[in-house]
Amino acid sequence: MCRNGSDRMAALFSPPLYLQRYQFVIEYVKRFIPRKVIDLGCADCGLLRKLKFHRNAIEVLAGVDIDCAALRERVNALAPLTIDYLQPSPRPLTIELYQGSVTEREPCTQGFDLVTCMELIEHLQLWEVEGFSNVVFGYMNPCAVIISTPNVEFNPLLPGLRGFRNKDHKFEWTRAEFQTWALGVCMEYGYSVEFTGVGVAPGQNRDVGFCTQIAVFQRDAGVSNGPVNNAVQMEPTVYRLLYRVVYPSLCDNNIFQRTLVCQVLYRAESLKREFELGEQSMQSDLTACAHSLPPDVVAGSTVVYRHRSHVFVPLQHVWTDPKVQALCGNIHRLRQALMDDSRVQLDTDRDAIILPDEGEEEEDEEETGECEEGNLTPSPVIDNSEEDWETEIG
Amino acid sequence: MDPNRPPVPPGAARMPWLPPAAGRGFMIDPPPLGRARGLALAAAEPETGRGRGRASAAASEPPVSPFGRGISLPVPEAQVGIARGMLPPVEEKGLGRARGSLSTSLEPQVGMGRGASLFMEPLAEPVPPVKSQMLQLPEAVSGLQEERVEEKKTPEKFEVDIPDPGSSLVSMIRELGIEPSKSWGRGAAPMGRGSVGGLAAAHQSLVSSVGFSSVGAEEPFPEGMTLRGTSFVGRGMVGAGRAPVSPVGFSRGPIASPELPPGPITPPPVSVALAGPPPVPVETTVAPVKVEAAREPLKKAGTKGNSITIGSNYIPIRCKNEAVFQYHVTFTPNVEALSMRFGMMKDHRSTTGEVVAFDGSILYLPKRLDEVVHLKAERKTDNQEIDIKIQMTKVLPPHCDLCIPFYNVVLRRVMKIVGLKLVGRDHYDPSNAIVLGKHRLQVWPGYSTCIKETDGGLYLGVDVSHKVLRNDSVLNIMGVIYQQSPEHFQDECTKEFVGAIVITRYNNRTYRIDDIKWSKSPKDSFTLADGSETTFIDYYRKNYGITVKEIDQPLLVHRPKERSKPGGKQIITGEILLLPELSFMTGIPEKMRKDFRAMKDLTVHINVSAEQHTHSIKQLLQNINSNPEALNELQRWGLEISPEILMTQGRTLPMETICLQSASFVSSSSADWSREVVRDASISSIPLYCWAVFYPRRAAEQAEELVTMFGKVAGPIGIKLERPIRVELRDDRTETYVKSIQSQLTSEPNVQLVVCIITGNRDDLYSAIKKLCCVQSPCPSQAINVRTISQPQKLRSIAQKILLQMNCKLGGELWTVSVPLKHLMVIGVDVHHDVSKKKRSVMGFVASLNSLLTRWYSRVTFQMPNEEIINGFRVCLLAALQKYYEMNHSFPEKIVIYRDGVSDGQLKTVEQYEIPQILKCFETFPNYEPKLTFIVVQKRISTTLYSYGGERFGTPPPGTVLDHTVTNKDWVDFFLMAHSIRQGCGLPTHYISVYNTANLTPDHLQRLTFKMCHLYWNWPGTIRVPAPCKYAHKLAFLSGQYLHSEPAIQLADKLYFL
Repeated sequence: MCRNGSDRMAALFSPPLYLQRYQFVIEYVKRFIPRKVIDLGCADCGLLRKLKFHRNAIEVLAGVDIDCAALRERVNALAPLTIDYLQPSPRPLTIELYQGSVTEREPCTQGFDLVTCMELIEHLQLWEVEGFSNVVFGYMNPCAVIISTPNVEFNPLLPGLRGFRNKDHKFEWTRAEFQTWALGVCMEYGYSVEFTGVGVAPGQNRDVGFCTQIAVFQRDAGVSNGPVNNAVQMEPTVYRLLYRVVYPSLCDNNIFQRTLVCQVLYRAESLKREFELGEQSMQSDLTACAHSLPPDVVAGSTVVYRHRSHVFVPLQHVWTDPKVQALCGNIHRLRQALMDDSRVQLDTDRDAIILPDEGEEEEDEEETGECEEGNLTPSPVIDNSEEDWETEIG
Repeated sequence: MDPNRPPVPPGAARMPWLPPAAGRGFMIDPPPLGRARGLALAAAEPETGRGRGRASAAASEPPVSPFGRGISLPVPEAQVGIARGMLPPVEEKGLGRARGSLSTSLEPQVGMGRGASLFMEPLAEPVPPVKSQMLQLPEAVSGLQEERVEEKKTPEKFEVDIPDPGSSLVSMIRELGIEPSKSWGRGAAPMGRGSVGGLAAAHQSLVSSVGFSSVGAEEPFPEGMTLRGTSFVGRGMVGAGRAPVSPVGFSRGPIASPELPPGPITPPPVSVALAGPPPVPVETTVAPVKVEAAREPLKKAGTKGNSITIGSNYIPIRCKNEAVFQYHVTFTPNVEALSMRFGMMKDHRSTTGEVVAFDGSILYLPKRLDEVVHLKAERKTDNQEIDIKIQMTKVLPPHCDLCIPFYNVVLRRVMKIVGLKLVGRDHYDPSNAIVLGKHRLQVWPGYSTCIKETDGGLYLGVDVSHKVLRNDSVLNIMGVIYQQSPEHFQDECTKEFVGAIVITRYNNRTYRIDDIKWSKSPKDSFTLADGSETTFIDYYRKNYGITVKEIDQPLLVHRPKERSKPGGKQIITGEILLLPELSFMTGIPEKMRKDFRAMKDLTVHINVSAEQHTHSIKQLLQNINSNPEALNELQRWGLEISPEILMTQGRTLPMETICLQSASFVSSSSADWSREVVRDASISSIPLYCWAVFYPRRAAEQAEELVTMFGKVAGPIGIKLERPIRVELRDDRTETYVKSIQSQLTSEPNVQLVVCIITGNRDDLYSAIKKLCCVQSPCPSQAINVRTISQPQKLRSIAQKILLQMNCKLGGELWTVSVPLKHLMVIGVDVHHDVSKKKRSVMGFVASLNSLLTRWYSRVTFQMPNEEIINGFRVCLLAALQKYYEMNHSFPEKIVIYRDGVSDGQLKTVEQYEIPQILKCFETFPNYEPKLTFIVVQKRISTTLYSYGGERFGTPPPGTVLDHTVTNKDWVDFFLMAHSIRQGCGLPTHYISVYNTANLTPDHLQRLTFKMCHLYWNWPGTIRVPAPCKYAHKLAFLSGQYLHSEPAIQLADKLYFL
């Protein structure tokens, strides 16, 4: 994504134009909820860094750029945050970065829901544009494509600009040129297109159009021919994989299990604590003292009870915790999940969690550093008490 | 002099790479500048001193650049331009001149002494003659000292400038492609510091490398440059300046790592650098010069004791690159915006290569460009064509101080590559998180790493660290607090959260919570950088796609320390507001800290043994060395990290003889004499004729048993003990205790000791008793928790301990070790900082009064947050000296001060500011000039020592000392592990001798320190720090935490605070 023009345009647009372009894509993502998104020409991954927060839509986020250095630059900003580990999201997210050219066909790029291509095509030679169209629309064949490019008609409004907005631009199109190309693409590959843009001209100059013109393509219904690769992560054959990170999520069974067990144990422990407090305050009340009752009498009940040196917390009780409910959906699934987990001990009916009664461990108090170990053999080195440092100092 | 000077050779053949202009260079034309700087030259020209003098004169001129930033200044300003290594406009002439100076360097290694090993001169001559140079004539030395004085003068200036290089470093890091994800308000400083030294040194080096070809800069403003370099006393250069002095007996200055195998530091790289492409002859000649430049190491190695093989958590790093090249980049016409400069340089990666460290004007590359490279760029704003001139200024050896900041940047990137996450300042491994579901927290294992240069060369210091993260957001915890105490909700929240460090849901930064704004909510709006207003709800939705669920929550406030943003564009001030819902706590919850059992769950994971410690470190090394991407990253700067941790030889100091009244014995190898001290009589005991025991009714039984037990065990220890006055209290309220004690002390003024038996852990009660007995009605007091005396099988040993402790408080003496120094006073100083930070800090001061080191005089002073500690210190010192005189009828001839709690960055301040004040203090007494040794004690260091035997790592025995390889280049220092470790890892204490006119040898320093670690009477064994420090710590803690005021002076000669 090209930000080079931003120096000149900073004064003109607020927020800066590149941010407006990002925001445009983000709004699109929020509305259409694409699951797999790929950004062609992602440069320093600015757009990807924004998109990665939209976990409710995106599950696979990919970036492609031909410049490996630019890609690497901010790659760490795509890594999961600390919090992603502390509170794993319910939905998966994988981020991948490839080095490669948008005029090459890479199987990994097929099957995406959305391809974004911001301020890229003007960096291609005109003769390459057709190949690009063929790769993106014909080969990758995504459900939707967003392409942006400078609108050359706007250039006179940019102060001090001579020639193209960036030295590397090979061409800059008028609205008509862009639309002609886009409509041609639609005809050829079975898409429909809408034109819009960001960066409105100030004052009376609105008729020059947006500073950045954007085309949003939708694949015509029923013309789905691209192979959908829902399969496990593929290794690229043409592009080079530079970076891949799989975010921790509850879709990972281990993480799910761990999160669930933590939540369940925490809930059970706090129920146990409440129970113990209640027990203490009603110590004289014999009826509240459950430990004379055999376990089968109480089993299936929804009361926390004590048997021998254990406290039994019924699953029903644990289930009342909204976080546990959110994780499991129903109590059967909860029971199922806890059954084969070594960290949780269930009773024989699998209706209650058994927790050890820690009241007895209490005596294990701080043992202030008393050394009661046997005497070690005295060292052979004996201090020479006759020494006099004064003479050594001189 | 002449014999020292290598003959000037015709040299031409040696400089094949010099452009034609160089022809001129062969004229031996010693430019005045060269004289002013070059140290070795100075020997020839007694003017050196003057050269320096000039520099300092310049220092007093105002030229502190108005351009705070280190941007290269446009030509006219260059006059002022000291701010950074400016490229002055005079290239034309400058070139010719520079060449001239190059040839002059064929003379006696110009600047060698100064430039340290870092900068090689194209030395034409083989070594041997040069060798003697170091033992330069006195003139040279005096010149140096003058320089030193000057350094002392300059600190103010260097303060002023700190932000600039600091921030430019950050931008340099940016440039390197790493987001400086630091916690605001913390963390940035150390980096900045480093860079200050580093960059300053860079400028200095720019100048000092007289011999280098293209330093056109020197000509016009030599003083300015010099000033710059020297004023950033920081590191490298300064030390270098001093080094030559050391042969004369002055013990300062860095060492050119003599222990290092010739490999890394040898100069071939440099020679290559100088010689450019086809440089064969030069290479051979230069190499030896390096050896010459190796300065005399500080004498810090002791010899006493037995040799022992130990390991330490340092990993040798090898630099394979031949050199790092420093360039100066000028933009013509000038480009102000740093971001634009970065952008323009980025577009020329084809020339510079991918491996770049650039701060806006100084560029470091691991590769050699042509001497001067001109590039073109276009300024987008006005289509102005900009000429970028990249001029080589310096060839640095790859392990140079200046490079360490980027090496650390590289290291951080490597840590990320191997899958570790940055939290705060250290890197952690979330995939191996230990989840403590019960406490709703996770412990992430990780590493705290840093590349540093020590006496042994370049090392990667790795410490195993753990991060405690909580699963709940601040909002969740607020909810819990609300349920528990709705009426004190806000107070409880303030208690819980203020001072805590949080991380956020949307970035990896950490913030310290300074306040809670109850009146604010996410619905409120704030102003964005571009001036527009937005609500918190909108902001998070728009930028991070986060929907704020709770609309009525207060906001957390973080107030960052004022400093400029990376790039210096704006100053960050004011407040940062955070949403509780999006903030997560880190660290151990306060409630958990008090819960012994819960802490046990946690410490099981956090306290690692030596075996686990080394295993973790090796695991990291393995992960790095088997990761191609990580290796590639290191390779970019030519770094290679050894797969093994450092193994070396340390020593265990001789065991000490512990002397009681008549018995004496050699301490066991576990340094524990708990049995001996209760078997034989202490040195002196105060008979207890009149003492009172206060206890609540329900502890009556325990009180009685304790008193009976006292009677049984007092005999062997040598204490005479009468029956106490017993006061049974009707309840255990604080008020009851205080009133009873007060009335007892009034009715019976001869009470020697108050003993209180208290139930439960009650800080308020303890505080009330101590306030009463230490401040209002001075009387030694002993508080005993009833639980500690409730177990009959332990009562005996407990009673013995308490009795010993009571004896100390009354002024008795327990044991000592022999210190073969006469008329000695040992002082310990420690400072207690109040956690809430708003309160004053407290300095505890303890000084020995007799030759046995068994009588101690103690004082306390309180300082306001920005008050200097030294003021209070002087008062204490004078009082202690007077007391010493009263007792001994003479003043101490030698004073050894152990000062705890001084960080590396403050050592200079101690040396340059505190010590002169202490010396001045002695002038109070006529004709009194004692010898002074000032030792800084650092407990919180990341160095760990392991013993090694039978293929296993363990903890080294008490008395293990390490005084080389991992020690500091600039000081006489050593690591001593005095205590015996039963659990965890061998954490030594670091001792730095900052001042030593007592001329104690390294052996003396080490052994005296070890002896002092034997004298803490509350523990019959050795402890981590010298006893006076521990006493001072205890005293400061008691005063700061419980008394909140100075204790009564009547108690000053007793260890009442034990």
